[in-house]
Amino acid sequence: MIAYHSLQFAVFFLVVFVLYYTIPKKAQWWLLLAASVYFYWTASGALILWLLVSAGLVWSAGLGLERIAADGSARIKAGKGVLSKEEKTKIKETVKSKKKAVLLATLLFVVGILLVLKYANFFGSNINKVLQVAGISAGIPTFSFVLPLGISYYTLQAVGYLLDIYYNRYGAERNPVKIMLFLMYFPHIMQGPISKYNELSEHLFAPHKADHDQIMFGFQRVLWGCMKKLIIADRAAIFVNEVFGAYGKHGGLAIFIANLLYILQIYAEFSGCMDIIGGASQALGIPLVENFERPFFSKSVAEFWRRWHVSLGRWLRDYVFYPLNMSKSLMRLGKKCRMAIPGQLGKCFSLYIAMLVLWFVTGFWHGASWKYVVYGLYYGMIIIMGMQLEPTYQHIVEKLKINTSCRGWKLWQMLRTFFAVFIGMLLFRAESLKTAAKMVLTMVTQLQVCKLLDGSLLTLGLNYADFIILGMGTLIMFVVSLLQEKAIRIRRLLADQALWLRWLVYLTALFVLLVYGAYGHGYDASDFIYGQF
Amino acid sequence: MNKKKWGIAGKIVVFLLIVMVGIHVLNCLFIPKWTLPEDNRITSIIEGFYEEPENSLDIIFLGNSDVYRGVSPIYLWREYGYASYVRSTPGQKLWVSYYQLLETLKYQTPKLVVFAVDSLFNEEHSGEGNYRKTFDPMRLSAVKIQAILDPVFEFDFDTKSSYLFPFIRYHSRWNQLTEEDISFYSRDDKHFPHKGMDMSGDIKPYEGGYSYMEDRGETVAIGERAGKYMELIIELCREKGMQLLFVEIPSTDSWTLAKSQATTVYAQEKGIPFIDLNLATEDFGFDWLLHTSDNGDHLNVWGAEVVTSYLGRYLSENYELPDHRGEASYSRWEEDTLIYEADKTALELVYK
Repeated sequence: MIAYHSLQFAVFFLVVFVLYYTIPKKAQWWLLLAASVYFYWTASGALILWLLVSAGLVWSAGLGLERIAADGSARIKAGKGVLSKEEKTKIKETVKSKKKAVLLATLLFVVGILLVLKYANFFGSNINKVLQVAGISAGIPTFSFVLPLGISYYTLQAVGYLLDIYYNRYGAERNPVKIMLFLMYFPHIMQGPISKYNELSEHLFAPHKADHDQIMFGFQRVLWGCMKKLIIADRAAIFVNEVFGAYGKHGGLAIFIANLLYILQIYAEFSGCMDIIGGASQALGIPLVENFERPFFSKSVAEFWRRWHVSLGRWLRDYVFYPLNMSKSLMRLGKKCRMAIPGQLGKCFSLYIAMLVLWFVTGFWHGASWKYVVYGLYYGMIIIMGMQLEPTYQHIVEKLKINTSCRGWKLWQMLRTFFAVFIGMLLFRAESLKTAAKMVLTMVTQLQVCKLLDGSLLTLGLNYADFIILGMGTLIMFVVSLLQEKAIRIRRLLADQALWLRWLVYLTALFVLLVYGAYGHGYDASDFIYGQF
Repeated sequence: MNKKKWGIAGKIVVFLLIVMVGIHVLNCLFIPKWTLPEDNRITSIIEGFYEEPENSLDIIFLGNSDVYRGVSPIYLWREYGYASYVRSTPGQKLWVSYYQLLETLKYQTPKLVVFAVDSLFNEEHSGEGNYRKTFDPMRLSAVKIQAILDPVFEFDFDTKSSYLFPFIRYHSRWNQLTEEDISFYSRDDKHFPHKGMDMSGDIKPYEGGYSYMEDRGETVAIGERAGKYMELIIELCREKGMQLLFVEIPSTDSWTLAKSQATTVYAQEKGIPFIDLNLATEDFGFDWLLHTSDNGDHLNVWGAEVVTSYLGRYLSENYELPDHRGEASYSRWEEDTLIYEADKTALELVYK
């Protein structure tokens, strides 16, 4: 597999980049397809067949859905003035049911592949446990499927495309090869972002002239992403892996710092990866949807999730939450609850149900275990509790005459959100729920702050100099985020500077990355965490 | 291309040049400097080779550690006036020897290549450290790139990259850099007076005599990989008009009678003379109790001189090699001899 932060990817991308701007513009997207097939093939070999089958199926289902709708409209149009209202309704219902059948059959297959390959063992082991309780010993065997690269991402994109066609949001694509490229476009195949077909295709298949600014900004962003990944994330990972790998050996302080570093690691790594691929795609003239919007400035958990893994949140909102929340059954339930249950709970009950489903799916998407389900529901419950207690909270704030527009209050909200994320990330990183609970307990009961000074923290993989580099890297990342938060366009700002200053910045960044990056010998450079999804 | 495009292309070229210069500086800074005896002084040895005047060497000794510990070019100079250099690195495999020879021929036109043959029977790869000690001090050239890309080494992409740009391998030394790392490549004199020899004064006797050469009824075969690169060396010597001599320096660890017999057959097939100094067919003054530094694996400086004395006699009797003593262009060899003798005396004071 070619990791996005590797020299191999750099060479691969530079070859694609040079060819992209030298071949005829009409052939550019064919080159991207060839590059994507090569990229996918090197990582997954023959497993590419799963993706091709999904692409073929989604393409034909898209056309089928469109044809069914067009046939229905044509029949109604042809029968204008002849057909009765009932007959028109009947045609519409027939169209709807046919579309639903095509949609469900396709979803069953496309999502089914994901469910079988990724979740079969989870379902199997749980069914076995239930059977065991019932006294039945015949068990479902354990499978050892190899997951095709990016299956969790391309499946969501495929489902999104199908649902958009189903809801008539845009027309179906006639060219199956374009669907193939949409699903397997090499910058987003491994870790997203999860793109929508109508947004991406606009740029993906359009001819692109080399644009100096776009190319410069793209490469700058790639460099910035590599710095986040190699200087911060991979360095933090050394300490994190050491402590999480043997949490029993270390006191509460080490666990506390390891979890802080894990949050730093996962953010620098995931957002760094998005910078690398986003920058690479930008250099090709193809903008990708943003996946991170400085989530640690969030003042609530709900806001955090609107800023963290944005494209996943958007997908779940558009294709899980909205359809569910607007479904007839939940609407009916909501109506009943509003009348039967007084107050906030009655008002929001159906919404809470939809949210619980949403967060269940969020957790489950992250991994095939109960730990991830709890991880998702944990955030769901915090958001629901927040909504439920909002009136009480507002009342207290008013009574205490707290100035909610002051910086201190906003900082408190950010810290409160960070604390919730701190626990969430611990759940995510810990081996199991039990381990997470033990680690929290150790933090609470054996914090041992004195270890901060006795040098024991320097025996966990990172020395003093590493901590300095990590600290400086984090500080720079924070300052950059702060400037971005204030809507200052750093790359534009840099582009307006004199050539010598720009080059000084680029060269310094490049050589700082080469020297201080935690890659190669002496460091256990890891693949991107989100690459396994 | 219009003026603007030329301007951009020019900027890209200049930027890349600055990056390349920066990477070169990083390489020089971060590659470990193997200058101490425990590192076999390998950086100094290789650097010293590049400092030798072009086409000034008539004999090249090729092989592994047995050679840089078992041959004394300065002794050969002092006694016969032959200009030679040892082009050996630790655990040098045959495929490494081939590239060492290719690299040597870019700077020198030797008349004779003396090849220590025990690597003929070694198909295993060297440890990373040995390959590093071979390639990292080597100048970046087409030969180096050819070697790194040669599938025989079985390097993956990342490893190849790190041999090409060694700082990738060593960048984590950023907080261990010393004054030597900064000043090493800018020092005035990179000359290595011992001419590729790693002089050792340790005396750790081997008490088994020549028992390691007893007939144990074994048979050994030349390895496929090693054989292939041996053929390439033979071919290269023929092509360049260089004579090739096989030799095996006394070593209880790496040599057996079976290997000796197999080499004799091979050398006869190829028409290459072969001297096996392990056979003890004649007494040339070698003593396992005095002349080994590590209980029989390698020789000390006194062992090396005994072996070189024998080889020098053989070379003078069988080859027409020029005696450069007294030639103005070789005056530095006289200075090197004095340094060599002084170093040897210092070892004698410590070890004898």
